[in-house]
Amino acid sequence: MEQVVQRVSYTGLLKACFIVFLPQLALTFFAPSEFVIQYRFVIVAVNLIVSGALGWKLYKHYYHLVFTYDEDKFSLRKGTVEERSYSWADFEKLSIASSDYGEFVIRLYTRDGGKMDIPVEKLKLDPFTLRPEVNRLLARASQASMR
Amino acid sequence: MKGKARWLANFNESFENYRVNDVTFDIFIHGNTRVKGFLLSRFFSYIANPAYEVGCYLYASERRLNRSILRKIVPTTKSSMDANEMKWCWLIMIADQIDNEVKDLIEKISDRGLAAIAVETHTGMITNSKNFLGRQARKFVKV
Repeated sequence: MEQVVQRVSYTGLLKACFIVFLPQLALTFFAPSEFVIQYRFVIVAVNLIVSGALGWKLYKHYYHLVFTYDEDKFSLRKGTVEERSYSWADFEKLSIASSDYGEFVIRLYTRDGGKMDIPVEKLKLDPFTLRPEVNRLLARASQASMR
Repeated sequence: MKGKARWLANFNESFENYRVNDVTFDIFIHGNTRVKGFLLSRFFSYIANPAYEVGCYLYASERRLNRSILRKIVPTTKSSMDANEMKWCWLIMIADQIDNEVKDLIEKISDRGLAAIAVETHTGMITNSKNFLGRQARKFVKV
């Protein structure tokens, strides 16, 4: 049965909202000062609402991570622009690694030494819980490919 | 894991049931002696610590650790060290019983980059290689 893991990354969402908020903030500097002073609360409220709405759209389009897996394959989708799919049989071993930013990943190694990271911390998964499950899937895929 | 910890290196990757040739280590962790922090810690590490790749292999067995097993484990560890370009390495072997001959052999390991430590769970006795890394490692292995 296919498992889908997706969690909202608040850091990613905040980044997306900030990206939308900044140009709006810059626009207010060019607006007449009397207008800004008179409608300051409305401007701030509109900026925040627009930032929230467009930031969410931006986040879903570029940053939202979705990890989907079943017994044979898995895929990692980032937003709607990037999707990578793999078969468990492509990999032979795994490790738990910490990235340069101190985030845990599950690192999968191919037989020729290539590697691929599943960003478990960004997906808010416990790497030590997921490791035995991924180990089982790798062992199963390896046995199936031997037959 | 229980007890106090002592900083050895910045270990950033861990494997379970790590297979090298025909030896399966229960745990293998590797890292670097240079820490990756923010500005100050990164700068301090850059001037004070060497940038050595290091690793720690753990081999545990409920069987008796004898000469033939040791003769497989030590060369395998060394070949893995070379393959991973590691400068220092800790090899910890835990077994229910360890032959006296094996203890002698462990003490005689003279490779400067390899610290070998054997822990006999039956008696709680710890044997280490007499090289510098081995003597240092003996201080942090407690049973």
